[in-house]
Amino acid sequence: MRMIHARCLSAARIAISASLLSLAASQGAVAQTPPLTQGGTLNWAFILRSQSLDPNVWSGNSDVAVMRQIYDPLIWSSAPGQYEPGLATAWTISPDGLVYTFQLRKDVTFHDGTPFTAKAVKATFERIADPATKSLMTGAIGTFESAEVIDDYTVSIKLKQPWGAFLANVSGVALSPVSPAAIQKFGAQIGQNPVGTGPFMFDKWVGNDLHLKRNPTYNWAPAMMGRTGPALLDGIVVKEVPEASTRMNALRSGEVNLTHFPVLSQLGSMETAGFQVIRIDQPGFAWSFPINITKPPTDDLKVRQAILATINKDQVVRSVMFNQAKPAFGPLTAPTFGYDPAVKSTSTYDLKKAAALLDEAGWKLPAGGTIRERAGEKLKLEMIMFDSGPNKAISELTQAMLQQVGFDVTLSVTNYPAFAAKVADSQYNLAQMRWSALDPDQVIPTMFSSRQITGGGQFNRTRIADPALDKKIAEAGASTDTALRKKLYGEVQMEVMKNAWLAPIYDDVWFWLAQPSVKNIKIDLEGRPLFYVMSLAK
Amino acid sequence: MTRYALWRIGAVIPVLLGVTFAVFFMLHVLPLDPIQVMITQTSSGQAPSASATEQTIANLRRELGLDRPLYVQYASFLFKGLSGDLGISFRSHQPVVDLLLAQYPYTIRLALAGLLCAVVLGTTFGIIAGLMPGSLVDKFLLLVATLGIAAPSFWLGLMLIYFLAIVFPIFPVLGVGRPEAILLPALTLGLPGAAIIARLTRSNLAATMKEDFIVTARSKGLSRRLILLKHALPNVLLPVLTVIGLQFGNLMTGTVIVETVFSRPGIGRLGVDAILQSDYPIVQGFAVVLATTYVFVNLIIDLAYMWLDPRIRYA
Repeated sequence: MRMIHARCLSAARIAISASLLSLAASQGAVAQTPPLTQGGTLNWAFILRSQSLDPNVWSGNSDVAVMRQIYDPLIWSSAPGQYEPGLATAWTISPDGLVYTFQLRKDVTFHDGTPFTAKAVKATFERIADPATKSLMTGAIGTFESAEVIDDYTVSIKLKQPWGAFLANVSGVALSPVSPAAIQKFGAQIGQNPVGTGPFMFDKWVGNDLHLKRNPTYNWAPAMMGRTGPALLDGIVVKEVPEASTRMNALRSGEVNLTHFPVLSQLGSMETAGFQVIRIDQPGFAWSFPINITKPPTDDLKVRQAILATINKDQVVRSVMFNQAKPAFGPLTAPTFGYDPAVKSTSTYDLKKAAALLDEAGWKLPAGGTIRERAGEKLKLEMIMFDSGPNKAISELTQAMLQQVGFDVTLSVTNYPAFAAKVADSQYNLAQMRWSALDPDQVIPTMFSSRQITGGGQFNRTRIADPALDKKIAEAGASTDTALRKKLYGEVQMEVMKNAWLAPIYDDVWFWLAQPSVKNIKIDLEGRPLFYVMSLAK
Repeated sequence: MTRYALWRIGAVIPVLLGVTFAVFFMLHVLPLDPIQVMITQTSSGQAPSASATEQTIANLRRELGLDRPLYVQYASFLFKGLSGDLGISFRSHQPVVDLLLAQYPYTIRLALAGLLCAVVLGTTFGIIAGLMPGSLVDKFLLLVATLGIAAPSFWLGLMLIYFLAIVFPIFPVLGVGRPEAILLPALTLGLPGAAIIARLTRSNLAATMKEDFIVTARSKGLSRRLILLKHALPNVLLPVLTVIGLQFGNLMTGTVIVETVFSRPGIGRLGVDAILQSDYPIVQGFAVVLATTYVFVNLIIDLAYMWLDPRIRYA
């Protein structure tokens, strides 16, 4: 079973990997020796202050990891495409794939003491669907039509069309039930006063520090956690530390116990100093340059293929990512459900081939010149990028690589809103994409469906509009047959690479750094920590 | 003096109107779509997907009032603003006033602490250098002051953290929590101002010490100490007050960087995050608060100037 591909770089590597695997594989067996310490408050340095902790309305990047501790899903995803009971003890799918019926636990209460029943599940779906909620998570309910309370502990969800990724979404944070009584009480302010069923509950805000405390009545942990009862930690303080080097320093000074998004170049020295470094390969969409096929010169397949042959991913991984990531070969990252390893054969770094392709396309190097031309026109590329993490460094390096074979690359690095505006204008040859997701259905339709060219979030940054591709994507999305979905998504991946619609660079990886005192670190499939099982050595 | 003060307070209104107008239209002139930013930024890098439908987008636009004509949006912002309602954040759905009020005290505390650092360090070193112009001490302090003006506060903050919180663990890395935690952020914020004040104090003092009235005081046999405190400094420090007023604006904007480096709460961070997320109501509220603070601090400086300098008072 591939729970989490966690590569720990420190001395604690074997111990942590072993505990992760044993936790995942034992499905309920407590595999901890020596016994974990009870108590203590863990300080967690987080990149951004949580803006709203209402999972049904918003799941900002900064908030999902926090909401994971406060809310429980109906089902948990223990491995890509595999689910186990959470707040629901069992579920059935009607033969036509339209009705999902969930049996719920009868012993669950929300943090405000109100009982968790089928009504809360129905309310969750209806709340997201209601325009007045202003939910940004409507994608998570997909083809939802209606919810029906069969009895207090049985609820059925009816879909308009079959949807293969429904369970993946049910296991996510967005569809976790929020206390209906608390929604009534706090209204739109529920995001600042979260009330769920999870192992930790909201305590207070102190400045930008969010204090969570243990839920003393918690007794409904999923089997994959490997233990039962309330959490071991007394509480968690989520501290907003936006600057990467300050996060590293706060870990060094002992002011925080755990952090993420490190300074990559410092990972080695942190490891030497005895800190735990945990690496989580992210499922989802690889860090890539989608290539706009509607804007010359990248409307020409040969030019796109030349771009792919020019980019030396290994060098990017080496010099920008300090060898802490793996090169990507297709739109999906290796740990994603449905990833087709055959994509590896499609991209090779070959400057001679790139030059030959450009020559074939009519773009020739003029005598003594460095920029290729065709009928007096220069071979120009517009690359747009937003400044975040390694984006700027990667695009600058790629710009230099492309210039080697005779492209004239204009790079525009801006903040995110300006980047989004440029995407909407379609005035680029190369843009950027990266997305964490458990199921290909959460990324493939968004990135390659023609609906996303002018509509939605305009995530189809390749601007490909192909009815046959749309049909295949729709078929894969509607199917609940795992083998068929894998086959169809495999075909889509190969088609993307064969047509050079995007230049994949690296499979995204998230890092968690902890002091040696943090024990039993467990991270979920999407790279969010599960504090329920963690403890602090005294 | 009262009339002047009232006139100055009254002048705040057109300034604020101008600021809100400029910020509002600047936001809307930019080719940005807050809804687009909201749904794409929300979705990138997380699961489950928020592949918002066209319906969601249209609903959001309507619910947030962004489908109304610009002048209606601006008028609504102004009228609500008069009753202390600066709108609701697009993202967190919290009232902007609450968000700003929660963060403002942190920024003001930091700005005042930074100002204190700037004034104390600046005048002290300025006086020391000014009393011995041309000496080695003077040259050394001048060099330090030049570096102080040139050093980016981002770098300065990280260096202070490295040396005073990691190598010599005297202060905490995070600039909030323990009472002494504000010292490093305040120092980072105040040092560039201190350098400017030090240079100004030094040159003023060096010049003043050559003035006739000082020579007279000296010939009367007054002690060096008395000459400095009673005769020289009141003349030297008055222009420093003007610089403090101007510096306060720099300090307020400097808090944005210092708050980030030291992980302190504050309206600077709130404002910059809002700009990066196109959360218009917060950006507008942020601009109003920043402008109001700046205007009022300069008003106070002007009034203090009148009180301290009889030449202005009786003019």
